[in-house]
Amino acid sequence: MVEVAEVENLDFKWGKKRGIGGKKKDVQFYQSFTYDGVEYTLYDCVYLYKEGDAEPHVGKLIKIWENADKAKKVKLLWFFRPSDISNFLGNVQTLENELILACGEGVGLTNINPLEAIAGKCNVVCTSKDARNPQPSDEELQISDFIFCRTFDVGLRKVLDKIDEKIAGIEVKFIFNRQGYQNSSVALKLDSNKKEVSKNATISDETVISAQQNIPESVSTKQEGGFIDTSVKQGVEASLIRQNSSLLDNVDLESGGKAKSGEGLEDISINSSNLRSKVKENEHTKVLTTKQKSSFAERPVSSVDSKAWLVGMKSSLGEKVSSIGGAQQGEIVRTIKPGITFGDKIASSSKVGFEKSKAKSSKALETKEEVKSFKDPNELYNGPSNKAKFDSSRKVFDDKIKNRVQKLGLDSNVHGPKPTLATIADEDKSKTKRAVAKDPHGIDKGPCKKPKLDEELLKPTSGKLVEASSLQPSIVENKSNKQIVEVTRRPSLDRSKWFKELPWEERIRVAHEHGTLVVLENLDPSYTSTVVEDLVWHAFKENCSAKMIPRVAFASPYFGQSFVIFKTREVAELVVTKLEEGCLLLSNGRPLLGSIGTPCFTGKQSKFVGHLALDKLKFQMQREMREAVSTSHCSQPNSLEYDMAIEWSLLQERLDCAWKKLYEDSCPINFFTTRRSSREASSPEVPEHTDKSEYAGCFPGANPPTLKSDMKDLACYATVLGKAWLSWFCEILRVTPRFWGKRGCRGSVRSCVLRHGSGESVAVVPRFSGWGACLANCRRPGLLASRPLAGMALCLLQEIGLADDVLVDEHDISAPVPPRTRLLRDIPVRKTLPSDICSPCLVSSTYFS
Amino acid sequence: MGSTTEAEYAAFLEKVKRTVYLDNLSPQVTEPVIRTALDQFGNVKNVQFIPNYTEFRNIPHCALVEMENLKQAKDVVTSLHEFPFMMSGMPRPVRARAAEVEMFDDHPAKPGQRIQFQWLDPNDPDFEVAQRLKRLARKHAAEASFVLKEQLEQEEQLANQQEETLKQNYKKYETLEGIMSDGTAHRLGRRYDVRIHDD
Repeated sequence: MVEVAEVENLDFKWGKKRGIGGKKKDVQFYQSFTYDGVEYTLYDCVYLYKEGDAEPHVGKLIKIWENADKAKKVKLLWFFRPSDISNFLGNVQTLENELILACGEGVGLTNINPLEAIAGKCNVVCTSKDARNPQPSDEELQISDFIFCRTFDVGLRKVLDKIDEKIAGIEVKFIFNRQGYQNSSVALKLDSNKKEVSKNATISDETVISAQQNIPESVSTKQEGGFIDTSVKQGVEASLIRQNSSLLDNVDLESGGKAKSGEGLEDISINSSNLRSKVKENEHTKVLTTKQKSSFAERPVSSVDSKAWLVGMKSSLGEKVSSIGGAQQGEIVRTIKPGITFGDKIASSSKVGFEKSKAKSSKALETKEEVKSFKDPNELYNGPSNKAKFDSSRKVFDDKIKNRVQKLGLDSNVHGPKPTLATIADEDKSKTKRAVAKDPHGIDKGPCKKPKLDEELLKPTSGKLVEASSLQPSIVENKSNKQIVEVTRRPSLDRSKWFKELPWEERIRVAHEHGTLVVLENLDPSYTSTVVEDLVWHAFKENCSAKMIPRVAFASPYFGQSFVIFKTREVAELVVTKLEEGCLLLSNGRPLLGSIGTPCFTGKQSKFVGHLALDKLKFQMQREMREAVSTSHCSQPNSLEYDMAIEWSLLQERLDCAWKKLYEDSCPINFFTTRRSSREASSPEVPEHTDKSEYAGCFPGANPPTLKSDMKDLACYATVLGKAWLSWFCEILRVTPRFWGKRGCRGSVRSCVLRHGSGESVAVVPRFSGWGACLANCRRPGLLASRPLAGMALCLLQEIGLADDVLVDEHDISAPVPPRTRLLRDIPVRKTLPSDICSPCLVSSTYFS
Repeated sequence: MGSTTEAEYAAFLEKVKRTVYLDNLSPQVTEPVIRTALDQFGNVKNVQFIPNYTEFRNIPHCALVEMENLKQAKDVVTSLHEFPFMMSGMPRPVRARAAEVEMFDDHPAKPGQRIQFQWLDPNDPDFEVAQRLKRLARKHAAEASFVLKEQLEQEEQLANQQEETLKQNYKKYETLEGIMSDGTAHRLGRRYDVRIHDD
């Protein structure tokens, strides 16, 4: 909430009024307003930060008003980043700094936000080739933060290339570049400079505020003791230095830009970079001294640097800075700045440079500035803002700086109406503040070639984006340092929640088409998709969306796979190469594998292996089958289906064993377990590819797992019976240990049931077991009587000598029974049938009950 | 925070326990089919098919079926183990087994799981080992893929064989039908002194 309070403090002014609206005429619309020192007008593009989002949203102001309750509101027409709508982009290739304007009707077109949510201006240029659009010049394109030429219809969820007449009730001329944009490129430059100024002003303003807050602190603590006093001042100083160094970056780049444009300023840029590296060094030493001084610094740090934007820098900047470091920084800023502004003059003698620059700067900025040659680092170029720095630093290190001041004094004397440094020492803090406030004016003299950079500066200023930037470098280091990185949650993204994500199948398909799909393998299968996303973020610093592939029964329990979709093909390829060349070791000791994904999509399968159906549906048998197809059921043991199902079960069982064996073998792929052994004894090289012959040994077919022995026997019976017996009109129906189905009778009878005709069943005890007997109609007493064909089959069996005995139930006497038929009832069980064939249980319950 | 995630995870584990993993499913099997089929064992709470993006086209489908409680899930597994269970076709039976955590694509992260990784330095002696491990992992993946292919082949072989058997059977039934119509049955009947009547 610190930021909100801060926001309140920032100056705000309404601009031109527009009209009154609302139900009670209590809403005042405005054309423009000034906020935070920046003037915003209608149809400007602005950044909006949302808590927790990594990147600011960009929107166009389309309405500005104040409610009766003084709440300031703005209505924004959104721009999308391509990443927001990546699911809907299809094969549209977007540029890096491209935005896509919302259009159509629906969620995501516009929003009403509190005015305070605006974080800054944003320069968006329309590159649409539309005739209505004033074409931007190259320069404009260069300085633009973003471009756009496409629209995204939030209703249809389609990316369109043309821009409609009206979007969200706004005429298209306000959406295109503004009229006159083209002609007045100079004016625009100034304008953009202004923008930059205002951005810089934002920075400095906040600095001022922080400085302001610091001041009372320091004043109040002054009495208390020297140490604290100085420390507080250091805090102030540190914040100023921070500002300078950030500005320095800017300046540095400016000079780079200039040099590129061929104005012969190479030496300046070199110089500046040299100086910059010096600054870096200084900062480095600062950090090094940190630890020693921390006891003094801590307290003021916590009290002074409560500003959010300093949070990231707190530790390094709140510390004691050596006077030389501080001085040098100021010096560098100063020296570079004039160097750029009056670059050509600096190339000539410094004296001339002094004169001219003085004249110019006094005209333009009404601040006193001196130009100093690079060659003389001891002579400081001195301006009001420098004063501030020296002021604070001198207070701390008075003695050290005295010499310097004297030297400076020489310079200042030359350039008249500037407050002398002698007075600086006694100046109060308000001057410091003023000086800081003026500071950015120095910098705005050079046209800013890199608005992007300013944006970067802005981000930390608003204090919401520290984490991503600070995180990345540390990871880069880790890569080379071979440290174990702990994967934590990655910073949340600005992935828009406005649109529902497409189903994964669709996303994978699209990603595959665009080559952005990568399959990561050898993951721990217990990882979740989010974990994989985090992992990728930490390992490659790339955002992605991941989807763990759920493990199926036959998949390895050690070999997790995941689909990962990256934003571009380049990133995907980069990740794959990195994984190929480098080696990412996971915590379970397995190296991560990556490859460009080639998913296969399950189309409509019409046929399923193992499901049979007859072509003609003439018989009852087939009718039953057809009915069975439409339902689910447990297979009954008296059917052909059951027999086949048992075959399938056997196969499945065997294959399961195979898988198990395979994964037992592949289990010890683990870095930690294999490391020692493979080092000591160099194991034979693993073949890179595979073919059938090579793995024949590992496949179960070569060595099938054994079945339960009795099942094996039965299968054997079935085969023999099937081949030798009755094949011309009876079919072996099943061989089963559980003869009579579900209830009771689980005795192990080795027998075959023959199916004959439609529905009858005959049990046959294999003759070569010594007991050739037919147990007629064993399933349903009385059934045989109604099935003459079955009876005739029995007769045949006996006649051709395949059955010694035909036993029928008494209910089936009326059936065609072979001449020497005996009733089951009459047969003394123990004598006639071997006990292992016909267990007492079976016999009693089925035949003789 | 920690306790809620742990509680969530515990709840999830419960869910896993009462879930049955079905495979060897025909593509024609839909959620209602599974629901009606398993209704006899208990209340089906949820059916979730596991999509297959990586493997061959004709791989059987699989699904996770959440039952009301652990007992029902166990019932399903034992029953389907004991009796071949046909779903939308035969004779290939559906197979059931207890579900595992990794089969859920939305399974929550294990609480307290620490995920670490490191980039190995190419100069590190371990780097070579790790590279070899990579190749080994690829080899294992290739092996698995091969076994899977072989499995599919075997399945197809069995299916073909069974189809052949079925055709033969069908032929025999036709023959049987034939002996009724061409009088063979009647002749036989006369011989065994059996009165044959058309049924």
